[in-house]
Amino acid sequence: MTQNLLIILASFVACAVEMVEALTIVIAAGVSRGWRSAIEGVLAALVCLVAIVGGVGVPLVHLVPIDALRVIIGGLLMVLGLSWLRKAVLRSSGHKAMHDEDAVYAKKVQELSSGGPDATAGKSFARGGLSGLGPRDATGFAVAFKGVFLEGLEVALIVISLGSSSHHFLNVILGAVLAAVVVFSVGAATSKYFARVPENKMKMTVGILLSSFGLFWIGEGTKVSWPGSDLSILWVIGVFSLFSLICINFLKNMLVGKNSAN
Amino acid sequence: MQTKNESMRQTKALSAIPKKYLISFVKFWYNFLVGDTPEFFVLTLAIIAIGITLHKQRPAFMVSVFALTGIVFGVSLYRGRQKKG
Repeated sequence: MTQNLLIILASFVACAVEMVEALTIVIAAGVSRGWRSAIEGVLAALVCLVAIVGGVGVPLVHLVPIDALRVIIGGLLMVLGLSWLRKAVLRSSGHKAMHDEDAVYAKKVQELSSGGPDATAGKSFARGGLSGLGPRDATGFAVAFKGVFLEGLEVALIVISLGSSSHHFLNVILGAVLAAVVVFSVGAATSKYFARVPENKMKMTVGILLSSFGLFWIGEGTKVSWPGSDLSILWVIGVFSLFSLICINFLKNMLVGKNSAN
Repeated sequence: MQTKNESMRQTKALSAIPKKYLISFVKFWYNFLVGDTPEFFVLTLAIIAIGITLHKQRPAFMVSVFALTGIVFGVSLYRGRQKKG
């Protein structure tokens, strides 16, 4: 039961972070280059993702031995989780600028607006288009496609890895679907208030969960018997959380000491 | 002659496509696994090696894995901190 809830939570938070990033890019492309191409880019990316996951992801789970898969996927989660945790700790302690979704959005809009659909007439698709959605635009399409495809690949990787290692595919998919529903409903309703999503806290939670699951599955794949069996994931999460808090405090004190010395 | 050149150019362009995708694929995985924190990739490989060699000695596995993770993560944070206050 506890493990089921933790897997749903891990999948939900990890997928939500990626989806927030994808949504930021799509909104920026839609606002600056027209919604028609942005929506077409999103749909094209989703079709590609479904084809890739169906063609590669599902056979992989049936063909590769489970222990080898656990080690590989655990390793991938560990690398991804630790790098997210590192960024989140550096941001929380003031050693790195906070990731500001509004700033990312504004930068993207500025980049895209510097050559609007009219300025790139040569690259534009046939104009005219659907009423109310604006003309077709290659840049808007490419930006939306790229954003959704790359972030979607990470979501697919998280879903396949968490699902295949834990044998709880349904829970992982449930977490991902919940994340999609929540992020896209909230995004559609309150796209102006993007920056209020505490992204760094989400990133830290995901970093801790992914690193913990990664380490746990590397152990399981190499036949290590964890004390407490499946429940040991809880104390592994506890160790990572405690260590992260210690690091944040240490780095904060280091910064204060440096500032007072200057 | 001109048609021959054109067809040669087209064949060259077509053969360059798989190479381009292969390079992008390798780049994607390199950035994903190594990126600007190669220490985590090495740490993960080390943990797998420790798991394979020490899977029957649980206390040794636990101590070495958590100690190594703590040290590498700490060094990585120290390396990534802002240089100026």
